[in-house]
Amino acid sequence: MSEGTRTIHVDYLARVEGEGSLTIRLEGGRATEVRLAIFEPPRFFEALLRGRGFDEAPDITARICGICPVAYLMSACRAMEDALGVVLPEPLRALRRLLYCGEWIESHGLHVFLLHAPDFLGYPDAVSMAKDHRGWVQRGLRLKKAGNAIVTVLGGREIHPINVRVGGFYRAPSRAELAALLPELRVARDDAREALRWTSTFAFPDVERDYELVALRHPDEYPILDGRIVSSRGLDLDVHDYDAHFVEAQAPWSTALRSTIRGRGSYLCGPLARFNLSFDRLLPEVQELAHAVGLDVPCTNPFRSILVRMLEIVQAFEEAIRIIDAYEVPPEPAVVPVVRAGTGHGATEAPRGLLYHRYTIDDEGTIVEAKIVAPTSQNQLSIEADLHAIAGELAAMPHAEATVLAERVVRNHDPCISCATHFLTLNIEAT
Amino acid sequence: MLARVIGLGQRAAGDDGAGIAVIEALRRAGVPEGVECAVAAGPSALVSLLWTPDRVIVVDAVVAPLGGEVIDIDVDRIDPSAPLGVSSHGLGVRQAIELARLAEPELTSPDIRIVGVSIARPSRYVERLSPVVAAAVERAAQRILELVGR
Repeated sequence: MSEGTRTIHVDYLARVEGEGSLTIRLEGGRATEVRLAIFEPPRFFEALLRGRGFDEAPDITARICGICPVAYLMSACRAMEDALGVVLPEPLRALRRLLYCGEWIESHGLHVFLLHAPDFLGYPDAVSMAKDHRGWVQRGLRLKKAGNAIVTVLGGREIHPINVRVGGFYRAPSRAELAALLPELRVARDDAREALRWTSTFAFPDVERDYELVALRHPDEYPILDGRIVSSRGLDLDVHDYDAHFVEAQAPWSTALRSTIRGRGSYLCGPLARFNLSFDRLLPEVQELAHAVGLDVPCTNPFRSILVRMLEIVQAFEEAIRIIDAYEVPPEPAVVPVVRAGTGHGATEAPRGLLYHRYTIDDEGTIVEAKIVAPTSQNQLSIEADLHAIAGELAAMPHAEATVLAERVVRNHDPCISCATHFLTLNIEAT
Repeated sequence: MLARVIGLGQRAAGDDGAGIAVIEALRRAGVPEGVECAVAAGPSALVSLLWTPDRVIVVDAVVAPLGGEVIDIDVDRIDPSAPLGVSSHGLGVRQAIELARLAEPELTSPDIRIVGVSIARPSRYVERLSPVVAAAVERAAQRILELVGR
């Protein structure tokens, strides 16, 4: 290694979803190489899907992720319903939104309290943090449990829900089943509001990034289930036009594809994108809460994404309570599709960002082509760009501190890089 | 309720799905009244399942040189830094148990046990167990039935 040259290498990133490694080569005050190597499963599932029935896609793709199976269920259903010309009646759409709220709460809760907060409070992990901040960890776990309860009641079970089908659900819950969730949801909603105030007191590194932000935008709602694809630099697309504007390429050091906007480059999806592009679609009281804790548009500091996730948890609780309050059992749990050949596109907002599915099926409903673009593929280049942006700071730090900061920069975006296995051997080293 | 048995793992990760397969075997065989079976994809989903006054038995794949063994594991003797304690979801089994106890000491089961099924290495995108691990599933189910008193 020449003088002034340093390499930070993290074999396995801790506290991110899945396996990944990070290499940053610093020369002087700049990064000459940043490689976030990730091992991402959707490509393998695309091959698995070919030859399977249209109605199998939601369940098969839900296995991609143990943390956000609802997102895969929803994007797959949306795409298949698009191919088959199915339009969901509002009560069924509301149930799907409720299910998705449960997943947002559960997934964001895991990230905020167990993976991200330790970074701000100076702990290596959630267990160490819990010894000094028991009350907050307790509230975080209770809040996450409340999200799980929604997913369990609507999805039929907590992980890999089985009650969702193309056209709706296999069974719609009774009013009493949903109403029974309300006491727990109200307590957890109040805890989430307090936790937002707590996270707003954290010290945030002073970093502003010039992202092109990409998210769904809906005429009336904060984006979750559907909408047009918009960006902070003027994109405004129907989901059917996704492939005309976004392109993916593989880097030799990573199995994941990396997305760019054609002719423009990297972009960022996820909480920061949704917040900046659809702040006006948050419930009025949630907007007020954001202002009260100093969270305003624009927010382009990736470290402040923890605040946005907390705000989205509050929004999800408020919405869930409203949906349950207004719930009437729908006459039918699903619209039964009439099988026909076609191509369908579906995009929904997974907790980590835009999740795009496209399927082509033949006239018997057999899948002949599948494409899945996960949020982490879309964010990978922006994560690397974040690391380039702080290279000078990293270069000036002792090695161990630089490694910690580099990992924090990755964790800001809650990457979900491989969800098909829960085991990995952790080995963090800096050379 | 007498006990809650929780299978941990991912079905789409080859032998990592051993814990799920043991739960399926228990459900096929039938469990005594008062025994509840549950599954969790990873330790982060485990925490709230540990909040019960009853005995909890967690069944999980454990990486070891020799696959197909059924092992009783003493929770309090697991090295927090051992491979069992590390997961892609940011927590290990030991950490999940510690978190449950730290956050809700009064709610967390006073009797948590782990039955491990040893595996060589999880696979990716394989929805079946290797023969040697599959052969251990019934033995693990039997061990759990002994632990719950049948």
